[in-house]
Amino acid sequence: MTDVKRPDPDPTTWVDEHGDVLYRFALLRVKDPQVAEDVVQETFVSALQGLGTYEGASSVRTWLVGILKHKIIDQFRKRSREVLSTDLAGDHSGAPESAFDRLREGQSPATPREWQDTPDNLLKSKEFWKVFRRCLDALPPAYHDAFSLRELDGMTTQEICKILDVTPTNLWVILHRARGRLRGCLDANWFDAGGRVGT
Amino acid sequence: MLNCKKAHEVASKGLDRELSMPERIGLKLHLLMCRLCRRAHGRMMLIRRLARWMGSEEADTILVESGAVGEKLPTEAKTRIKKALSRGV
Repeated sequence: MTDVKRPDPDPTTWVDEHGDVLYRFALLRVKDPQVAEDVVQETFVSALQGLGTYEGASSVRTWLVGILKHKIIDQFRKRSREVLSTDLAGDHSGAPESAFDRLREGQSPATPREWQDTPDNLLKSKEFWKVFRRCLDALPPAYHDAFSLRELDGMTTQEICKILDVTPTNLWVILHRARGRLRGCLDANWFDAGGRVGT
Repeated sequence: MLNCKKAHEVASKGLDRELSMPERIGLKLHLLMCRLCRRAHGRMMLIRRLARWMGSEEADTILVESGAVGEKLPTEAKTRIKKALSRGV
C-alpha cells in the first residue's frame, strides 16, 4: 500500500482536479447539462462514501470514472421507458435503407462521399470532432442512449437490452438506425461538405 | 447470393454479434463483388472505430488540447458539490 495511490484525503480537491473531465464524460453520454451536473455530484458523493473501498489498483481518475459510468447507466435506465416508444414510433424515415439505396442507385467513382480521410488524419482534426459530436447529439434520445452504450462504451447488446429494457430485435433496429443517421449526418456535414483534413 | 439490402443487414448485425458461418461467407462474397456495399461497410467500421476512441479516457485530454471540446463543470456546481462533500454527505 503506497500513499501515492491514495485519493487526496480532502475530497473537496477532487472537484477541481477531476470535475471538468467527469463533466465532459457525462455530457457526451447524457447530453443534458443539468443531468450531467447531477450525475457528477452523485459520483463524488458516492466516492466519498465508498472511500474505504478504493484499493489503489487504478488511478483516482479511473476509479471516479468507474463510479460515474454506473450513475450514467442508472440515468439511462430511468428514462428508457419514456423515450423509447416515442423515438421508435416517430421514425419512419428508414434512414439506413435510404442512405443505402442512394448508394445502390449508383454513383460514378468520381462523385463525392468517398470518405477519403484516413482515420489517423481524422483523429487529429479538431473540426471533424466538432462535426462528429454535433451529429451524435442530433440523434433522438433513445438512439443516442443505445449508441452511447454500444459504441462509446463497448457494452454488449445483452447488457444494453437490460438497461434500456428493450428486446434484442428492438435494440438491433435502434442501433441500425442510429448508425445510419450518424453516417448520413457525417456525409452531409463533413464528407460531402468538403470538410477535409488540412483544408 | 445476398442482395445489397440483405448484405447491409447482415453487416450491421455483424457489429453486434458473431455472424454464423453462412452469414459471414455470404457477406464476404457480396462485398468482394459490390464496390458500393464495400464502401458502405467500410464507413460503418470507421464510425465504430471513431466512436470507441471518442469514448475512451485518453480521448478527453487530446480533444481538450486540440480545442475540439472544452466544456467545464459550471462554477456554481463546483461550489455546490464541494459544500456537499465537506458536509460529508
